Amino acid sequence: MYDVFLMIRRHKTTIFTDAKESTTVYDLKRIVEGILKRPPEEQRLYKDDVLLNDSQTLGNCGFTNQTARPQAPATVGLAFRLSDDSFEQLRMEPFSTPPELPDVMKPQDSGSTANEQAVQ
Amino acid sequence: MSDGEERACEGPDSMYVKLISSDDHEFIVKREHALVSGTIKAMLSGPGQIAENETNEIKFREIPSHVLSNVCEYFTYKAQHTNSSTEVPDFPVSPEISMELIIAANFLDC
Repeated sequence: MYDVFLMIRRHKTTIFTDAKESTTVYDLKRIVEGILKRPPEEQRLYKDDVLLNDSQTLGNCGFTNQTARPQAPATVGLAFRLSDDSFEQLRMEPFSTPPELPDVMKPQDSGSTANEQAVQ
Repeated sequence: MSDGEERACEGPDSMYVKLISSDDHEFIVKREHALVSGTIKAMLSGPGQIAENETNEIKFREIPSHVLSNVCEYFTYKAQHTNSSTEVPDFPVSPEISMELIIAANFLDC
C-alpha cells in the first residue's frame, strides 16, 4: 500500500503529513484533531473545491502516490465549523511571491537546469 | 503510524513541531522530519531552557513562506528516500526560489 504525502491547509496554517491510500478522510480528520485540537465533526476537508466524504479513502478521493509525492505533496483544504450548523468558507492564504528573477538567471532558449540543491 | 493518537505540538515528546515563516505562515511538520535540519535539531534538543524546547515552535524571521514550504517538502523527501533502495527522483527547485533556498538551506544546515 502506498504512502501519500499531503499538505493540509487552512488560512495560514499548513500541516505536512503522510498517510496511506487506504486511510479514510475521517482518519485524516483525527490526525488534524491531534494537532489543531478540533474534533472531526468540526472539520471539513476538501480536494480543490470538492468537499470530501468521511468514509472515502484518500486513494478514492484522488490522492495517490503519483499525485501526492514527498517533494510535491497534494493539498487538502481544511475548514472549521463556526457555530451551530455553519462552516467557515474554505480559505487558504497563498504563500509569499518570490522576487523576480534577475536577467542573468532567466532561462535562455535551451532552458537552464535548476540544479541548485544544497544537498549535503 | 495509524493508531489514531497523534500527539500535538506540546511537550518535548510531541510528534510535530511548528515552523513559522517571516510572513507568519505556520508549517507543522513531523518532529523527526524537522530534525533533518542540524540547526532545528540543535534548537529543539539543546541543553538548557531554550524557549523552542518548550513550545516546539520556531520562528524564522528571514525565511518567507514560499521558501519554507519547499524546505518542509525537502524534509519529507529526504526522510522518505534516505536508506531507500528504490530510485530516488529529483527534487524539483524552480529558479525563482533557488537563491533563497540555498541561503535557507545553509542556515538550516541541511
